[in-house]
Amino acid sequence: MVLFLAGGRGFTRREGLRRIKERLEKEPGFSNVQYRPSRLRPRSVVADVDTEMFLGKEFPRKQTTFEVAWRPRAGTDVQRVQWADDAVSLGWHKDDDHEDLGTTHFQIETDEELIHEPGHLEAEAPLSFLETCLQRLPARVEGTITD
Amino acid sequence: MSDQSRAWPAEMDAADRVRHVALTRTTPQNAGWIAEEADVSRDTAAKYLDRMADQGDLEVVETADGMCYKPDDITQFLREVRTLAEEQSVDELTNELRAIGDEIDSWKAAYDVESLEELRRSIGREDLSSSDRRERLETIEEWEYNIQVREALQLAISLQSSLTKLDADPRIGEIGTGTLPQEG
Repeated sequence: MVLFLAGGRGFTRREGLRRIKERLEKEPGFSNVQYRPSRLRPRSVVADVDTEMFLGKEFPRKQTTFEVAWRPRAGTDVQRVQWADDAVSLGWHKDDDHEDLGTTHFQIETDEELIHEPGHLEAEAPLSFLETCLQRLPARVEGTITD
Repeated sequence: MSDQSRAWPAEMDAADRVRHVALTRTTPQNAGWIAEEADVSRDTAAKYLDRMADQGDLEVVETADGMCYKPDDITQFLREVRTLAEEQSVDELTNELRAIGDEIDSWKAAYDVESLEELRRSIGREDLSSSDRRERLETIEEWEYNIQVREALQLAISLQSSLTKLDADPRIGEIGTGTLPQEG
């Protein structure tokens, strides 16, 4: 019974990632939504994004990769929502890094610099965390061409 | 926690939000905590949580925070095994087992350990930097996950095999009735 003593986290994780995949499949501009490393053993969900379709306006960088990782834990879950295009990689990370910036930090990386900021995001449920990030994302992405 | 830091997909109603919060917890949480996360009233959360507990989806435990709920491990596991057995071919299940084995072998080589236990013990080593330690802890979690999925895959293959035999040769049932006690 070692499996049950270890808890149902593995299958809890599949439940959360299944809902994340379903959510991303409904997002405008998102396509080719897949589990990684595999459908039977998912650790994250990745998608291709048509940037202009997602933003609803013209944008200099057309293609983006989007990845959501989620790992349930006793206490605070690990969750990462990451946008990566040709010029910038940005996202919200809830993990053990940069605890001084709060439960979640926002990270933005270009060829020139890597910046970490407080994330101001406390949601524990994977879909709620993702939804909050999706709502904030357009402003953050558009901000990368005016900065 | 600040309510301003949470949002939910528009199409999710109260029941769906409560269900999602409750089924993605690892540690037991009380109705008040789940209600806040799901953005519903405590009474609404309690109503849906009790219903899920009655259906066997949630386990109810008494903690210092009162009556708490968490996903029922056995229900979750058996449902997973059944889904795998019904939806995947034996080749797909076998290929995934091979991929898990390959990955565990790669971790053994990368960290120069023979087992998950040995990797766990290595966390206490003084020569590890904090980032090395963090990377190893992450690998330990993924290793545990692989083991859990492997158990489900192995049982799903057995279940498929049993179901195929029962379906292909109904005499198995008849043979059984001659040797096993009758149970109605």
